[in-house]
Amino acid sequence: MVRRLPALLLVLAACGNPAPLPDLAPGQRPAPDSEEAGLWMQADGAEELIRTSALRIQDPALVDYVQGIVDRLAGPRAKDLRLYILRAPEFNAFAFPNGALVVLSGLILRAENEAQLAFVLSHEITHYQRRHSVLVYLSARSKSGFAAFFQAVANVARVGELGAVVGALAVGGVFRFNREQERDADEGGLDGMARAGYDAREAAKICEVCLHETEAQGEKDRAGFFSSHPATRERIETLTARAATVAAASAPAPASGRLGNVLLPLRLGFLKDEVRRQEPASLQILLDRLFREGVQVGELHFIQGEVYRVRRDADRAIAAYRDAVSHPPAPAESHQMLGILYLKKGDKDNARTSFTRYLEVHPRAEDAEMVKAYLKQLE
Amino acid sequence: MKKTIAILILLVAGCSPWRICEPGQRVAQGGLYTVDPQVTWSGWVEGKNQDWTVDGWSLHQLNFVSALKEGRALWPPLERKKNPPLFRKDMTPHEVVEFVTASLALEGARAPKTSAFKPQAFGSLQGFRFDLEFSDSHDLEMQGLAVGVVHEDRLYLILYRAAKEHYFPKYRESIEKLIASIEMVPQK
Amino acid sequence: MGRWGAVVLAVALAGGLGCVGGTQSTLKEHFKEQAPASPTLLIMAPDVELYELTAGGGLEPKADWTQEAGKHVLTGLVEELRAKQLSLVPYEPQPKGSKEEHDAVQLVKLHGATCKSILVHHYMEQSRLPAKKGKFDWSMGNGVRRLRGDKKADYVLFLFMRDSYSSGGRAALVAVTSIFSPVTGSRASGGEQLGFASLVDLESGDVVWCNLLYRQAGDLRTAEKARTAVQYLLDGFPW
Repeated sequence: MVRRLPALLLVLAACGNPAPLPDLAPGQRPAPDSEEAGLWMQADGAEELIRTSALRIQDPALVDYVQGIVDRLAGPRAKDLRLYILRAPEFNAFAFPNGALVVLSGLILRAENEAQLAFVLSHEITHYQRRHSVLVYLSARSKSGFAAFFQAVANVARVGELGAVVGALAVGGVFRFNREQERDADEGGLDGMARAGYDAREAAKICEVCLHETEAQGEKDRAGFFSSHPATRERIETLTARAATVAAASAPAPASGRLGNVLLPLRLGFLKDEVRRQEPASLQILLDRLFREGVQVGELHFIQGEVYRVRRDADRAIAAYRDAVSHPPAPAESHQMLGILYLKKGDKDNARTSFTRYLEVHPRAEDAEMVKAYLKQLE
Repeated sequence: MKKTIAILILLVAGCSPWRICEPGQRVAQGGLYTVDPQVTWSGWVEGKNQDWTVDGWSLHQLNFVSALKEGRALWPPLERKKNPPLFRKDMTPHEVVEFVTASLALEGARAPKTSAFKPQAFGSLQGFRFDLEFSDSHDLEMQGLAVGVVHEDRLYLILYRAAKEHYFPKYRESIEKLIASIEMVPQK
Repeated sequence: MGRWGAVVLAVALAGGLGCVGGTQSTLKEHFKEQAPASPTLLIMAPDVELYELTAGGGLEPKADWTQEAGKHVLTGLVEELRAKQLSLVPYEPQPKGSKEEHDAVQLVKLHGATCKSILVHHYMEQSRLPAKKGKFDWSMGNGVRRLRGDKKADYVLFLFMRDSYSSGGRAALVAVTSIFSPVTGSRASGGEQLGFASLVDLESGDVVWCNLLYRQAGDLRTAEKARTAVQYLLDGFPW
């Protein structure tokens, strides 16, 4: 039944604790009759769905930027990896067994700097290189619970809007690595980022970011990057200690500030996705951090307004939208939302002012006719 | 698949929620208005709501939501989800549009975008309309258009969603005519 | 197996093919009378996947079997169609990332949704759409012409197949339970072969013929047996 694996591995697989496989060499493909090839075939199918998905972000500046990080990290393996950036408000990235590397916009939004993004990518590339998915797959097979395996994986991959794509991802079996494999990937992640010239101390910091959000939202079993091995204090301490002992850089440190530049034109859209996700406590942590950075705060005030509006706290929402318009450039919708909230409050003068201003700054808005109708009502 | 199971249950119970809707034969919606179907549809009745299709739900559908109350989700399957968007009687048309797109997103619609949002007569009432674009959970590109009105604190909505390829252009004109055919039922 | 495969299987079993196995072919009304004598067919690459059924009841995807079977099914299909004197043209995928590819992908997805609707609302009698009054009438619209590109073809043929085979352990289990089946009344199923074929008019987009196949036998791993499966799948084919 189990082909092309040494007898020792068979025994260990039966105990549910497979021994490590040799790293995937650059350009290596599994033998066609192996289990691994079957797993790659599933991953190929999922990759095809992702490649043609409506959620795929193809902004050239962003793609080039992240590809550049992957190239620095993966070296000779970079040509075996295919990068896909998807629009999804989740802190997650994963590498399929076949080399498809998926990065979600929620991760890019939350990384405080390029080094943090690099750690997460390096961690995932390590899982891929060490073929951890294959071991998870074999381990599940030996317990003869395929259906249970896919179900458990699907439960972990609770990524809201991704729906069927995530179902397909679940089939790739890339989640639910065991503690040993996660520690391995953290170590490999640190080594990989350090060799590429990144400051290894940033690895612990990105875990702090996630821990902070998770605690605020009160969620224990978070999906995604921190699913099988949560951002615990222990992990952060381990990463901090390890950072001091990693290999020296074999490349110069990359220029700083580029992450902010490529993200900025896309940031408002990503933040709007976060509002729709309805995890306001964790979004507030992110917003507070972005406010501290102080870049283009007008749009941050707008998002703050959206958070309050969704919570039906009209007064705070109005205050936040007013802050938005007093910190240009702010999204034109700030005026639109002010108009709506004033309208609902019965404050006709302010409603009129806001709707009029909205049409001035955004005359070709898709809702211009509707707003004109409100103005007519207010006469 | 859910509708299929529901059909089987109802057939066993001895009643059919199906009806055939034919051009020229007006159909009442929620006791408020009637429409002329324009083309022949297979209609599925569920409480005050109706869902019509010619070729099947995966390809296109015309949903009639009627008399939706404060605090309810857009339609029954959404009530069962965690934290569904809820209708509020004080919603402005903008907020109703947000309510509809958030509901569709919860059911798997990806990257929903609305456009051409404007006032629209809903029979003799002053309502609103908007166009819609999104991809379904299989990434099939979809287009839609909707008209709605909040009347006596209840939401009335007509929503047509169809595959962008073939199904939306094929029925678009009929849907526009159907909307124009809205006639209010005399209220007691 | 995928969600699409799950639908096909559910319909095949619900439709009563499950007990005996067989095919259920559907032809658009009046098509045979109007069909041209020797059309050209555009052949889409068959969507084939093979699995091993493990003793625990799981389906393990087999890459090597799938690759081989894909070739055998295509070869078998070409041989069968050539034997009917039909001209064939292979579908050529568009360059990756191009607008043409995007359009082609959307057409293939529309085709998938159309087939799903046919299975649920025509093959499953209990969920038929009453306004259709039993008529087999589905069309993808004339946008399907874009699949033709600059080639000349009258119809496009899609094939979908999923097949699973018992592993050694499973075959033993089947043998054991079938010995006891007069007592227990049940039998673990060995593998299953599932297929759906559809023929679409490249001018109008009308689905003119389709066929659902379900067997608890059959093999796609050899050229000869794959050709047999294709023959079953072409049961009721208009030419």
